[in-house]
Amino acid sequence: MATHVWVIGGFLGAGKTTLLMRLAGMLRESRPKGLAIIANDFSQVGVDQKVLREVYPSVYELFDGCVCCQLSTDLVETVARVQSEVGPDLILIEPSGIAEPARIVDTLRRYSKGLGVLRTLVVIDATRLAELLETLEPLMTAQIQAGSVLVINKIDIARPEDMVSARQSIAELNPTAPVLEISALVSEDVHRIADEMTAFEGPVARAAEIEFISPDPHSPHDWEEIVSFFVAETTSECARRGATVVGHVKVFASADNGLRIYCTSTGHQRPPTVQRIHGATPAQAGENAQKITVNLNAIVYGLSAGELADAVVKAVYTTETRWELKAEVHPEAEHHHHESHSTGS
Amino acid sequence: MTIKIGTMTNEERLRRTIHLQEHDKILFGPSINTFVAKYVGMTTKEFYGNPEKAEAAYEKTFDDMGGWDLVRNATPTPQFGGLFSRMAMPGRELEENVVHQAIETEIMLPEDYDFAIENGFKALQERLDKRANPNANANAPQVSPEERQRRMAQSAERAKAINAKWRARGTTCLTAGMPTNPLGYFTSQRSILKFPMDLRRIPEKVKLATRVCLPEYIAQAKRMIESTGIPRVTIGGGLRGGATIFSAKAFEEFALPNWIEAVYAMTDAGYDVVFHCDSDWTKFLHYFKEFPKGRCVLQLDGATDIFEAKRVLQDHMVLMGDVPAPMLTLGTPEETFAYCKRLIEVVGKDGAFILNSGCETPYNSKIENVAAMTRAGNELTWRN
Repeated sequence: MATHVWVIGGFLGAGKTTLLMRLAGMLRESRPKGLAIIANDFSQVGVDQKVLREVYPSVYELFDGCVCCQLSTDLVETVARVQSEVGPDLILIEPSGIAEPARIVDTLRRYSKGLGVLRTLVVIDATRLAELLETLEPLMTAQIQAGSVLVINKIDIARPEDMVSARQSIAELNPTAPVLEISALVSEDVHRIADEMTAFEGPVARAAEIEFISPDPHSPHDWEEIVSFFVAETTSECARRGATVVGHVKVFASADNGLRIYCTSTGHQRPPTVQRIHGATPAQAGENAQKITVNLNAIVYGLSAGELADAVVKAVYTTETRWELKAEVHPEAEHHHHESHSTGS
Repeated sequence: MTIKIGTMTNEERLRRTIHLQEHDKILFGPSINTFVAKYVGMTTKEFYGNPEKAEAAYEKTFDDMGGWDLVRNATPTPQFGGLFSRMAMPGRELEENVVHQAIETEIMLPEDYDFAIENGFKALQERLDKRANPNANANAPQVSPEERQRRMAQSAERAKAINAKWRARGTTCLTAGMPTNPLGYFTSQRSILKFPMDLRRIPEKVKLATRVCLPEYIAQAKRMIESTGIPRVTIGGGLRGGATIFSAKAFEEFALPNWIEAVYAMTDAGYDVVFHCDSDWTKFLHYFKEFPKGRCVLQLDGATDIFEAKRVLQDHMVLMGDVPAPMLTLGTPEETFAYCKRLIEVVGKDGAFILNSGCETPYNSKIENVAAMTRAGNELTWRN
């Protein structure tokens, strides 16, 4: 069974450990195989970290080695050790506050085995973000852009202008990630963060209707290639964004000449299966057509609804460019997000 | 000039490489330190605590692996801890077989900038070392000042003897050492949490303190060169993490002018300079064109795009690196060898390249990967 991993990123003093403690308590209850924590060196720590060790037996310490070269490799080895010794459903990792979460995720994705969802939650200190962006712009930008979920913390002590500035900066740097505003210390809403994280483990679905229009008519064989290409691209885009499983990408395409194409893809390792159904008037089915309407239905695991929507849009654009088409995406059917559930249950 | 392969010494090759002149071999100089402890089966506690054993381990690794062109420069135990005043050591604060750790905590207070401005860099270092370690210095157990001086003199003699041995074996050293950079020192001693706020809240004080400390930094660099006889030294910009952490504005305002001045002080005196640039400097590569052409080595650790660095700095500066730490610890020998080959063929196509591990060869590198890197460094680097 896959181990889900969340890297809890954010600059020093943003409130990562405080949030980690509260999240761990909530998430642990829904995990049949438990939860493990890999956290920063505790030698110079305060009360929170000491409590963490007391309350959660599966806490592994990660030394503050050279952030450039030691951190990622130590992390890969520690994750492997945790998987072997504890075998949890979920690992929460709190690296150094000057680490770049994207590099950590890249190294884990490249060298770790048996991982499911592999994402970053970034904690942002609302009271200091403006100041930090001014002097530490590359680090803060990299951290915020890496976040699959963003948490604006310390709302209990932030000034209104701090909150306005933080929201604006985050919207500019990472417009697609869900953003939650809490006080990790006192807020009752921390469960919403746990919900957002867990949602990545459940399926998300997308339905869309796309019209592909060609300046010159295409043969049925060409349209079959185009539809197959679009399905493969959609599947690949999902995989690139971190989908852990592509449940399916299915399209049903139809043209005015009676041409009908049914194409499906499951997983990104296999080419899609293409099935062509002839229309009601076989004599017409062999004629060329200038337009085809594609009805898409996709279900994937490990992406947010926004990421799946992005994947579809990108695939449409790539298909347009590759085949010199124009695409019209009609208002899609409402997407639905299934009830989150652990893939282990 | 016709270069006959195999007729140069490594020192000649190194000078010609840095000066962008023709030579017969891409030099191979892995940054190998604690890895030798793993290789010979000693703990890091022993490695740090017993310099003779550590040197023997280094020599055995060198001989078994097939050797390399550039070796580390043995240096005396420093009087202070360098950038950090407190270190956690294996067998002392840490388990016996892990790498040493710098303890990042606020030792320097905002008012210490004024102290530095009035009293200079060495005085600041002494003050903060006493504050951080009231009974001892960062690297030595509790000893009297006389005993400390005796040990320093002894380690200086030992370093001289080690370096002479390696010269006799035909290797050479890249750098005389890395003196403690004032701005880097402030970053570490204030801690990475507090220092960025200083840049915003008391910028003029930070700049003035850096400026006042610069001559001592330059003087220390020259002393390192003169005492070792190695005409090269590592000069840092000071902002730890460079482009990964600090903005271009902060870099240009606080680091770059002093960095340029320090580098030119070296090159005008006839010495060459090494830049040890960890983390991702890709966005700052263009700044390196401010440094003198054909006098500097840019050492990268795998985070910077070295192929982009070649594009930007070709015909200006030698590149060194960058077999990444994750590849050495987690990858395969085939992957490691192939990457070295690519580096040599692409980054080293004009000879302005030195093959190295990025930053240090990690302690927990796979032996077979280091062997693959060494094999590439010895078999693929002759130019014809």
